[in-house]
Amino acid sequence: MSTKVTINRLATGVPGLDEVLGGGLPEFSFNLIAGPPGCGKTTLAHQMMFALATPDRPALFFTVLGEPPLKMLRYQQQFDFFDNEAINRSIRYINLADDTLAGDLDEVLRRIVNEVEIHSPALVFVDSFRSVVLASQTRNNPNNNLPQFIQQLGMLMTTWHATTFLIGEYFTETETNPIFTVADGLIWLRQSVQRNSMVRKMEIMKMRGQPTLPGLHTFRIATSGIKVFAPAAFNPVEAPLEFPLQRLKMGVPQLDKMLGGGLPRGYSLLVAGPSGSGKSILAATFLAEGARNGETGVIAVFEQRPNHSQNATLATLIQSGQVGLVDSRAPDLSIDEVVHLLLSEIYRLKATRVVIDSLSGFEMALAPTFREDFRESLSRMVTALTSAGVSVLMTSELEDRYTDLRFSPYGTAFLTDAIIVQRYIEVESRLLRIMAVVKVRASAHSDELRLYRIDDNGLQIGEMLSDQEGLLGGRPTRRRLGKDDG
Amino acid sequence: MASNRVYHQTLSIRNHLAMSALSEESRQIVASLAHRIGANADIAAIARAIVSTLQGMDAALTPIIGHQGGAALYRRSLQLCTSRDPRLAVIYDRAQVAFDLAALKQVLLEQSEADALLFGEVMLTTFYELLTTLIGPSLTARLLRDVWETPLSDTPSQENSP
Repeated sequence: MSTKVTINRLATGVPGLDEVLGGGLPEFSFNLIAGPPGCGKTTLAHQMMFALATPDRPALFFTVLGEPPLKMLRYQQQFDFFDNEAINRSIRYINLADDTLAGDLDEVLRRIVNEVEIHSPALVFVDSFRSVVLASQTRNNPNNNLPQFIQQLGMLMTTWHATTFLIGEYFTETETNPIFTVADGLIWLRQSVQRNSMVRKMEIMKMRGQPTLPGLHTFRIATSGIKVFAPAAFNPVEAPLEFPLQRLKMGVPQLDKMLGGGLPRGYSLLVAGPSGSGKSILAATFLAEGARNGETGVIAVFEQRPNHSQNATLATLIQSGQVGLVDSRAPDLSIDEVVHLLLSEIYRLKATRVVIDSLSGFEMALAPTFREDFRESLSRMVTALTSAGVSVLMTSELEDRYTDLRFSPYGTAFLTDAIIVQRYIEVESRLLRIMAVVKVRASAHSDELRLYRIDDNGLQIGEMLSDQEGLLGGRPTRRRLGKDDG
Repeated sequence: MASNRVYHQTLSIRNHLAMSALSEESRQIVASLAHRIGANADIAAIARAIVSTLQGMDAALTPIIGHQGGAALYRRSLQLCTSRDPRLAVIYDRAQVAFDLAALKQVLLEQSEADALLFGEVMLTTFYELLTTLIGPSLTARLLRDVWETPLSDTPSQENSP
């Protein structure tokens, strides 16, 4: 039996936060929640407090100078997690404004310790700590030794078995504040503003003894409270491909043949083509074929006016619950939020097929701050989805250039396991469509450029135009046969 | 007998508070005040009951919203009372400048019993309603529960005193 101390991890009750913290909040830790005004510090504190406080393990919420308690109660009540019945039973608010105004840190500490001794709280919050700091600067008081105050507070709270949060603002990260040294955890909230878009981000700058997830994590504040979009956990050891490859039918038999027998399970497929070439129809057929075989699917639509209702097949599938719809109109999406939405639908429906229609719409839906990293983000999303075991079909708008053969505007072609390209060509004053399978990783596939048309039953793949050449240039010419030359 | 008194007082406040429907909470406040006053409703008992109720509210709220928060609610309540019940404006004005609850008690002792009682009913109800507009009925009830919850079956303290 181990004689080492076990540090319990508390479940914070904030979706996604435990993952970001690396497994929850260490019990009896001394933490700072910092960030600019309006970034959600008090809300985060309240959400954790209501989740964790019980009559046996109550919480004390000390209000110092800052947001008046009456207003705080008024606004925090708007969140679903706020439970009136918990007040004065498992949660106690204590106002220290008068003590802080006096500017004597020893007295503030004495008040806090006194209340802690009376109530034996499991959780202690001090909001806002910045005013304590300011109060310490107001008077030339020999008792106002801030580092000592923090040191003592941290020591006392831990000794009294209280997990503590100081809530503060305006701390600059470069500043050498004694609290940074004493604190076990530093949770930093930020707001990134670009043009008209605002994205909330959270960073765990420090959490002693925990494998926190590094970097900035987006979060949203809704009436349900804060929701953190932790990056999807993925298995770094990818399962090796199993041969023979299991394949999914696309719903277009000729296309299955071209792919070498269907799309290998767990692959990502990019369907690139110009506007009107039938990408969305192919995507809907892919989901319908899955439903026909008893599989479920998820579709993410990123259009300003989702036109899924125009495709009767898809609308029926969504209606019947065989296909889940992710149609987030929320502004300023982050890639992690989209992955989060997709994965929760995938798990809910045990889905095997996923469609993202389209990448162009997806890019538009992202907050501007994420667009710079679009390629990296996309790569993360594809990895997260395929490591969840699903097969992904993504459509990509492709401007017909006729001078070069491009697969996607983002240089994302390398990210996917398979690629289908659609083009328009002009033959005898008609606009015809051709399609080709460009790539299927670890599988033989057709190299044919096949004509196809769209009718009420979807894509109908026809023959090759073997008597034409220069198809990819968009204006093919009739091939001159050798014997005619003579 | 006690219920008669409550009924009578409910009527008195209803007449004066025609602008706001008398809620269940107001009824409870009025009943609680009557209970505190006890059987012998002289001016001393009335002033004592009003002040002790205000002290109870102060004790419940000050730890949470601080002295200044409590004082601000008190002053705002008096100001609302004046527009509600102009007849007693003089008392409200004097209460506004009263230094503390002890001073308020002095002001009340100089009033007629009917005026002091009406002041108490309007003032306490208004205070309660003001807090309700700020933090909602359920949290207000939660915070002030102990102040109003004086079981009517209890013997008023005055009757025990020699």
